[in-house]
Amino acid sequence: MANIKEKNTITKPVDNTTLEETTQGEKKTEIIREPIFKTNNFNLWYGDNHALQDINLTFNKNEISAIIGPSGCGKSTFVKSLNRMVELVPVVRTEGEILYRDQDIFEKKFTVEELRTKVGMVFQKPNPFPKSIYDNVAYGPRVHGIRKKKVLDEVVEKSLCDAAIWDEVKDRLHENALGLSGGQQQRICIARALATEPDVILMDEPTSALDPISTTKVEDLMQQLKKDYSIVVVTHNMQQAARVSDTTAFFYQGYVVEHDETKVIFENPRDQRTEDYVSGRFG
Amino acid sequence: MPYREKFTGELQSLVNEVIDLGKLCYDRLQDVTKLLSMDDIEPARELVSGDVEANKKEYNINSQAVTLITTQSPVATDTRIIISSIKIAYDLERISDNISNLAEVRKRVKITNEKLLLRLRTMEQLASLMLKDVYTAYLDQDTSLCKEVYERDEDIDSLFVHVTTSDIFEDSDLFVSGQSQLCAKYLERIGDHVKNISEHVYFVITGEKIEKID
Amino acid sequence: MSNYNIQEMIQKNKSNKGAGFEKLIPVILLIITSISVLATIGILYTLISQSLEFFNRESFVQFFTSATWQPYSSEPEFGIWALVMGTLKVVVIATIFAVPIGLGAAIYLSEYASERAKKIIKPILEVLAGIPTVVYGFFAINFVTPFLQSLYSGISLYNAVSAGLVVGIMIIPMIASLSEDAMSSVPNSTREGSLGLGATKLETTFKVVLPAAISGIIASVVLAVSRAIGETMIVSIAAGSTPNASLDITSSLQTMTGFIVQITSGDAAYGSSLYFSLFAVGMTLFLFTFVMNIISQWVSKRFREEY
Repeated sequence: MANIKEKNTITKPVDNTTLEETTQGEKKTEIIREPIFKTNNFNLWYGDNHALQDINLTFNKNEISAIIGPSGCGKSTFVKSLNRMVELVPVVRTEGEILYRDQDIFEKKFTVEELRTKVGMVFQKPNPFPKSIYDNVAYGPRVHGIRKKKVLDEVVEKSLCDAAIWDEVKDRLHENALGLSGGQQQRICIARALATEPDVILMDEPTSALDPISTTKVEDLMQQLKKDYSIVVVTHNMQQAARVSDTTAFFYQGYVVEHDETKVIFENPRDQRTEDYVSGRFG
Repeated sequence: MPYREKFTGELQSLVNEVIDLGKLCYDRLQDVTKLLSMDDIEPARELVSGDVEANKKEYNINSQAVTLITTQSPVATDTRIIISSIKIAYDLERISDNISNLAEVRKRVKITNEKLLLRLRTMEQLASLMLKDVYTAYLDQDTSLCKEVYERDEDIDSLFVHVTTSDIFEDSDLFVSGQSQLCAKYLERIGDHVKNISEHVYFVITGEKIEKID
Repeated sequence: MSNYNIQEMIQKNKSNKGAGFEKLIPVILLIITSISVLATIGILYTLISQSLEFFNRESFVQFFTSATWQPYSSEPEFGIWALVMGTLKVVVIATIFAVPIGLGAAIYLSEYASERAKKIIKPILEVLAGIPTVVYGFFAINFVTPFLQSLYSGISLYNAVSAGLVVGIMIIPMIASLSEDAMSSVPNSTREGSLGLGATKLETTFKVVLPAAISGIIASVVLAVSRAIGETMIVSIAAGSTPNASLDITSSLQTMTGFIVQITSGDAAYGSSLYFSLFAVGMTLFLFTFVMNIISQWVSKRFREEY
C-alpha cells in the first residue's frame, strides 16, 4: 500500500494563485530582496571532472542561504568559488559568471585579495592562527595596512562583540587562541572574518566539528549577524538548514535540483529528489 | 529506498493504526439506524460499550505520533502524514462517539416513524459511503475523489435540514420528536467529521488546503 | 557467525601469556637505557677529573683571561680565548652563510615548490648532508681558498673564510631539512585561513607560517650551530694551526677542535700539561654545546605554538 506519494513530475500541479493566497494569509510584511550574489551558467571542472554544471543561483542581502546536498555534490566547491578559494587547486577551470554586487569576480581589475576582504570565510574545522586572540582578529586589518593601535583595538573589540565572544575573552586577549575550546575557537574565527567588515560571510559546515551547545551558540550568532551581513552556509545537517536559513538550495551531482524558500523545501518541495533527500530517504 | 527503514516502518504502522480505527468506525456505522427500531436493546448497549476500543486506538495513535515527532525529526510528507494521522484519528473517534450517542437514543426510546427512519438510514448510508470513498481516495492518492467526498457532505446537511424542519416527522410525543431530531444531528455530525477527514487526506497528498470545486 | 569459536580460543590462549615476562620488560629497557647514561657520565667524569689535573698544574686565571695559546713554547701560555675566537670566527661565518640559504630553501620547498620539484631537490640536499667532512675539507683547501685568493689576494692559505663557508655548506641541509619539516607541519587550514582574509601567499608565508614554525626553525639553527662548533675535519685541513684571538678572518687560526686533533695525532707526553690541556679544551667545547642546548630549549619554550 502506497503511503508515500509517487511524484513523477518535477513540478507538481500547483497553481500560483493558491500560493499567493497562502502568502497573503500569513500576512507577510514586504521585504525588499536585494541580490548580493548572482551566478550565471557557472561551470567548474577539476581536470576532466565536471564538478559544477550550469549553476544559476541568486543570494539576497541580509538573508541566510543554505546549501544542502549529499557528499560530493559540489556544495563546498561552489561556496569556495564565491571567494575564489577554489583556485588554490591547480587543475581548476571555470566558465560562466559570478556576480558580486553586479561585478564579475573573475574580472582582472578585481583582485582576489580585495574580494576576500568583502567576502569572508569560516571553515569547517576551527583554524585560528597560533597567535594571541588579539592578533588573530587584528590579522585581517593589519595585513591590509591598518596599523594604528587605537583603530585596531576598536576593530578587535567590535568584531569579538559581534561574534558574541567578547565577554568570554576580554580579559585574556593576549593569550594564545589555541587555548580556547573548539566552540570558542570557531567564534574567534568568525570574529576574525568580521574584522575586515565584509558584506558576505561564507560558512563551510561551520558547526560540524562542534559539540551541540557550541553549535546552538553559533546558530544563534548567525541569526544575529543576518541583520548586518549576508550569509551563505553549506551544511550537511538538514535540521540546521531548516532551523537557520531563509532560502535553501539543494545540490546533487554538481547541479542545482531546487532552490526555494526554506519553508517550501522542507515542508512541500517541488522535486521528488528533494523530498527524498530532506526526509533522509537517500543520501 | 534503503535508508530509514525503521522510520518508514513506524510511519507505516501509524498509518495502519489509523486505517484500523477507520475500519472499526465503518463497521460500527453499518446499520446503526436499524437499531433504532429494534425491540431488543442489547445490540444498542453493545454498540455503546464498543466505543472504548475506539478511544484506546485514538490514544495510541496520538502517542505514537508524538514519539515519531520527538525522535525522528520528520519533514515534508512525513510531517504531514504524522500530523494528519492525529487529526484523522480525532475525527474518527468523534464519529465513534456520535455512533454511541445514536445507540444511546435507542436505550431511551424506540423510533417507529417509517418515513423518518428511511431518511435517517439514507443519511447513514451517505456517510458510510463517504467514509469508504475517502479511504479509497487515500489509497489511490486521488485528490479529485477527496474533493468529491468533501462536497457530498452537503447532501447529508440538506437531509438534516429537511428532517428537522419538516413536520412529516413530528411525533405526538414531544420527547420522541426531540430524540428523533438528535438522531439526525448525530448523523449530520458524522458527515461533517468525514468531510474533515477528506480535508486531511487532501493535505497529506498535496500539502494544501482543499478548495471547493467551482 | 564464524566457524571458529573465537572466545574459546582466546580463553585457551590466555593462560599462555606470561604475566611475569610482561613485568620484566621495563626492567630490561631500563638497563639498556642506563648504558647510554653511564657512558655520558663516564665521559663527563673523565673530562672533569683530567681538566682538574690540568688546573693543578697551570693557572686557572690564565686559562680564562689570556688570549695567547702557546703550549709548545719554553714558557707555555694557556689562554683559551685564542682557541675560542678561532672557533667563533669559523662558526659565525658559517651561520651567516648557511641560515639565509637554508631557510630560503626550506621556504621554497615547503610553500612554493611543486611535488615534482620537491622530489628532485630534497634528495639532492640529502646527498649534500652525506658528504664526508674530510672531502669537504679537501674541497675547502683546494678549491675555495684559491678561488677566494683570486678575488682578494690578501687571503692566506689557511683562513677563517674558506673554512667558514664550507662548514656553512655542510650545515645547510640540516637547517633546510628541519625547517622545512617544521613549516610543512603547519596545517594547510592555517594557510587557508590567512588567504581567506585576503592575504597574499607571501604575506601568509611570512606572517603566519614562519611564526608558527619558528620553534622548529630555531631548533634547527641551534642544532646546526652546535654541529659547526664541533666540526673538526674541515677546520683541521683549511683553517690552520695558528691560535690567535684576533678578528682577522683572512689569516691562519686554530679552533678548539683543530687543536685537539693536532695534539692527539702528534706526541703529547702523558702526564704533561700539554696532555691535560686537551681535556680542558674538550671541557670548554662540551660547555659550549651544552649551553647551546639550554638556549635551544629555552627558545623552544618561549616560542612554542601548540597545535
